[in-house]
Amino acid sequence: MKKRITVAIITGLIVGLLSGCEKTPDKSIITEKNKDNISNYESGKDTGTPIRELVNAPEHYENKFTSKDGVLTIDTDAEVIVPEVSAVDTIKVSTKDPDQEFIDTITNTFFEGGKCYNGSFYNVPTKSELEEKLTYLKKCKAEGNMDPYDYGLDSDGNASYNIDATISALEESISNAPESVEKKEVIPAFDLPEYYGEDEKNDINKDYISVAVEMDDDLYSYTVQRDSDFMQLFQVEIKRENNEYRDDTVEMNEWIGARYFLEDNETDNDLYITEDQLKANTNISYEDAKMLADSKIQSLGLEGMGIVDWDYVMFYTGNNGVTADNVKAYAYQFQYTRTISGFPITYTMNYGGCVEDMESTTVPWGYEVCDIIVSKNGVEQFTLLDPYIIGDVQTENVKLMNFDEIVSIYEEMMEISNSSIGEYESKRIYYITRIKLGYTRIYDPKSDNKSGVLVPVWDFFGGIHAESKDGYISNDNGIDSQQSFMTINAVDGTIIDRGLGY
Amino acid sequence: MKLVTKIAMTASILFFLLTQAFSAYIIFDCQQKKIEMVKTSEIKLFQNKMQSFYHDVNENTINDMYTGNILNNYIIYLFRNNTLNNSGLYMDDNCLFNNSPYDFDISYGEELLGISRDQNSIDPKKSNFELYEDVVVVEQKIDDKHIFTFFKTMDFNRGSVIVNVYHTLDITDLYISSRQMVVKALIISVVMSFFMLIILNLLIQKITVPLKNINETQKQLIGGISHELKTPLTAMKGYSETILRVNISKEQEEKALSYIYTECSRLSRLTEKMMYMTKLYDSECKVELKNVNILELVNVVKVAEEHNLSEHNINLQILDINPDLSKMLDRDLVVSLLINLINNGIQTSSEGSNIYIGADEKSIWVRDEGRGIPAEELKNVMKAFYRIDKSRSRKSGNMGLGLSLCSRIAQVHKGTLNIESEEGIGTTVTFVY
Repeated sequence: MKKRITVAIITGLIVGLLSGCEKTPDKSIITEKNKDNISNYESGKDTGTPIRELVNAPEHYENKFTSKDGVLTIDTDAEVIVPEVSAVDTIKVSTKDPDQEFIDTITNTFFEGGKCYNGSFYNVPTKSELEEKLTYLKKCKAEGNMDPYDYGLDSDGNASYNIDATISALEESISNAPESVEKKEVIPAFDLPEYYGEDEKNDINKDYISVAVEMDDDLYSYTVQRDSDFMQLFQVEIKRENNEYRDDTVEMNEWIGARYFLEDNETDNDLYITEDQLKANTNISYEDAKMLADSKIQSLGLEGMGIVDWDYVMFYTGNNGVTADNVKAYAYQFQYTRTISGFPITYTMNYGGCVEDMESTTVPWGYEVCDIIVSKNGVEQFTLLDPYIIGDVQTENVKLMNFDEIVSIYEEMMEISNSSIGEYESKRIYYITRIKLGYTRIYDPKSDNKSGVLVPVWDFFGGIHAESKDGYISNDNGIDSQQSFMTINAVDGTIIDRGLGY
Repeated sequence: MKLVTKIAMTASILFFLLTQAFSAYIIFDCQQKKIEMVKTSEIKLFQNKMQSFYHDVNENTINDMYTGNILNNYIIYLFRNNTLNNSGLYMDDNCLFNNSPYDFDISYGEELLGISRDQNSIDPKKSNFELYEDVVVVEQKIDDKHIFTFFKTMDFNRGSVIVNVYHTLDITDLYISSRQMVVKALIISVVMSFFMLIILNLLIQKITVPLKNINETQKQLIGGISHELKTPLTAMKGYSETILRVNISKEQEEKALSYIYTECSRLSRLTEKMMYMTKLYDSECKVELKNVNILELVNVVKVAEEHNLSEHNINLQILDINPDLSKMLDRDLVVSLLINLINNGIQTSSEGSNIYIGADEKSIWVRDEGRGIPAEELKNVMKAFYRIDKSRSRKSGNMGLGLSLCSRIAQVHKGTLNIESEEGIGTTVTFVY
């Protein structure tokens, strides 16, 4: 009987599991991608001739093109920047893991001598802070100002900001708010407890560090974030909570690049300022600020990091953009990228990490970004995104395409990619002010989203003047622009979508 | 293993196998239909995108100015604007663009396309590819993934530019969900089969227990019959043999014949009673319950027993019975019961004694002034063929079935038969409704 039962059960299982089978083909029409074949380039020889000569790149390039319908104009009047090297390699790169050793390095670099407290508890608003906010909102309401932060109306025409709801929520929060800031001293690391309220059990935050640092009478917020479900991340943000000029009654309290507000930049702003004014207002010399920035970045141990660009920045508070009255502070912003064997990674304002569409299940990888803002008060802000580990050379001395060929690709593709703008715009002018050869990271997220290759690319930086058919005009003359309108692989002439990274 | 458990287990296993087979068929069928649906939908999507790509390329007109890298970039740009995720674009053998996780074997793809075009109908059972309009569809497994590959060739500018495009779709999730469903179905089948085993076990036991009891009783009856038949048959055989073989006097012959006659009569009564008992033990035995007037019933019994009573000089007295008293009874069965009780009383009572019948709302009782039943025998007297005094009972023709019959009659009326007795005083047998 036992034997029969066993046979019966096995038969049942086989019948069930056979439903998963299907025929196996003899030959495969597709195979898994070879992760190392992200780019197969031809290797050349280092002849000692500078690259500029090898590719016949001029110091300056000018050309103006207007489309037949007159809508599109591409006005290229650009400095051509080429690294002074005689050869360039393609380099393998990979993601750097946010290990404790590196976090400690960051902590020691910026906060030696400071006291670190658990930010989740430290930043819980106290009774007095909430009462202050409540008083402000009640005052606004009494004065008839129901939208003190200028949220405006939503798509249905209703007020986006509900002052009554905010007031009741505040009144309720005040009863449970602590009297004073709760300071729990910690070592910045993952798995710190996270505050969930007086009566609730605190959870552990595995992927986010939030620390408040008290140092030299200053207060800093220090956050580190790693991978999420949608994107792989390693993000570090340090900000000085500059309370001497913050205004929490308004929506915006942030640093903004000053180049858009320079007098000779023909953008439409409520503020125009000269470089001399900016220099004077920072109250710290460029050299001193740079020295401080360099010392911090070098301490991080990121091989090859150097300043690639800088700008004046202004700290403004307000709800309606930058005006002469709401700029509170001035500083320098330094952008760092790697330089490998004299060949730098090109910095653009596109941080990457995009996906093809909303339904994509790809987990993307953004570019390495390292920015620091230095004022007379020291480090105001530090941002480090997705740092790389620089790996081995993939192809030595890659053969680059001739500059003329690159430019013809650029001009044709600019026309092709803007072929449909006539639908919405009556006029668009591209001002290309800089053509730069440098590295960018390309990768194939479908086969490996944690490693890629640095390849030499040409970037075309500038600004746009656009006139829409409904009368809206935007203007940016492209001077000192960090916006690249086209990225062309200097080896094979393919167009790279910077957002996607391939 | 008990028979009941074997039956239950066999049924459960059969149930398990049938449910597994059925659910496997359903799951497999659903999986195939779903795959077909997904495939068809994806082909349409792919075709739409490629039509849009084709339209854009032709609208923008590839001309002789577009050569080399510019041409490639132009086509890539339009392809990227028009393609689905996980797609690739090849020109000659060069990969112009590929945002899928796979590399594509162009030559094999063209080979399949050629085969597909030559053979209008491809048997999907024998090959792993199909042709839908001009799209080759291949299903294959890579590592643990099930992938559909859609491939077609497109040409532009009167065939001067030919590209191969392909698109992959990962349908592993469909297989995983099917396997999960199979596992779930298996678990459910096992659990249901187990519960079925338990329930069947209980049900079969419930059904077979009464049958067992009947079987047991019948065995007892048969055993009792065999025993009861043996004795008179032996005697009858003996006396017949004597008459046939031995020279005996007429007086002795008459005596022997008389004994044979007496035993035959007794056997006749025995078989009659046995048939009656058998009928009573039949589970389909129907009891005809009617509203019967108790006093009238008792009078009928008195009349039936008049002769027997007068022969033994015993007086039957009917005690105070309410003339309006009626109960739902099977008249014949209760008459038989009362007659049996009175006969028992006659056999155990001496001449000149009384037998009493009484009744009330709850019961009918018969009391005699006989010799009584010893206390230790009370529990056995209702067993079939049981006699207290074997020798005296057999002489009187008592087969020991009377109280057993009465007890059964009481049972079929869903009542009970109670006996109270005291040696030397008498016995009261009460039929409680």
